[in-house]
Amino acid sequence: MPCPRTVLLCASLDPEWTGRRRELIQAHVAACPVCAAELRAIRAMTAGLKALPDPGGSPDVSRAWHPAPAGRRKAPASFGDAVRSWLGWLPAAMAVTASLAAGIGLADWSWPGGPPVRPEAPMARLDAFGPVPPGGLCAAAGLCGTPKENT
Amino acid sequence: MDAEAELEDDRQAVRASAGDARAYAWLVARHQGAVYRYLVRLTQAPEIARELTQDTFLHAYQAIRTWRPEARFRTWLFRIAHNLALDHLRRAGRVRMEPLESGMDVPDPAPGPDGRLETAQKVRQLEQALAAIAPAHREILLLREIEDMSYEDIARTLNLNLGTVRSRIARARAALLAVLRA
Repeated sequence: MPCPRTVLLCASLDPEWTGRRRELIQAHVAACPVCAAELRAIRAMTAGLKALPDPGGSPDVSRAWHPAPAGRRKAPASFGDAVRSWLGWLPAAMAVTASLAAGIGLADWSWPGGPPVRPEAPMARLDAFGPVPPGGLCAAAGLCGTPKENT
Repeated sequence: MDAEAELEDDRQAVRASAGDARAYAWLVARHQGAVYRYLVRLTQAPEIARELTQDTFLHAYQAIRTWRPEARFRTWLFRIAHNLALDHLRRAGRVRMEPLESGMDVPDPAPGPDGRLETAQKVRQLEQALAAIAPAHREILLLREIEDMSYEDIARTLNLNLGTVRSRIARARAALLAVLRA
């Protein structure tokens, strides 16, 4: 038998690879130092692969799925779950809104029998800046158009 | 991974599929290292591998109710990881290459009597050779030699038939050897 190709030598390593062809190759390797060396090199290579150290930097994904101490799941929730969880707060939110609205309404309510509401301060207070000087004196009749001057 | 570990995996997966968050957290903690290890070597990009690892467990969480005990949880999980990585590689077209040496736990450089490739230099050579072969060869070698998957599990993970798995593993080994000798 001529020397088998490296692919066949590689295939002969696996126990799953059975049959007459494997026996032929094994018999050839036992008699051929070149193929025996080739097979040793393949075995050393596969052993080296099995012994490769783990690459560093593996992420800790398991943390995302560890249940919280209270038993609540920390896994990513669906949109529906999120909406349902927010709906739980709806009665409390409605109560807060109602109490705020009642407070604003009561502030504007005028109670019967209460003190009369005084009208807004008249803008006439700004007369201090009018044309009549303090003391009500007017330099000439007609200049100051207020009743006081006309008397 | 031994039979008892696989059985425990499937027990936790049954609980997780029934809505048990603790069971799912247990599964994540158990497999996150292996999923990241596979993805970082497949993509050769640690940052992308971290994102894909998170996406894998998010997708698995969303689909855990569809998981059936007929499929091994680990195989099912690696299939999700593989599909996400494949999508990424197709979208990106080309993945930025980053050195894997940083942060790596390099073993004792003293050579052992069993002839294993234990020196830091040999580890580097192997990592570089893995990065240099075709992604289809790389992924199948990672699953077979590093994750120690059976041919059947590899076939389910990569959606291939058994004959293709056998021949691809042999070709991938030959390709890696050729790169190491180049």
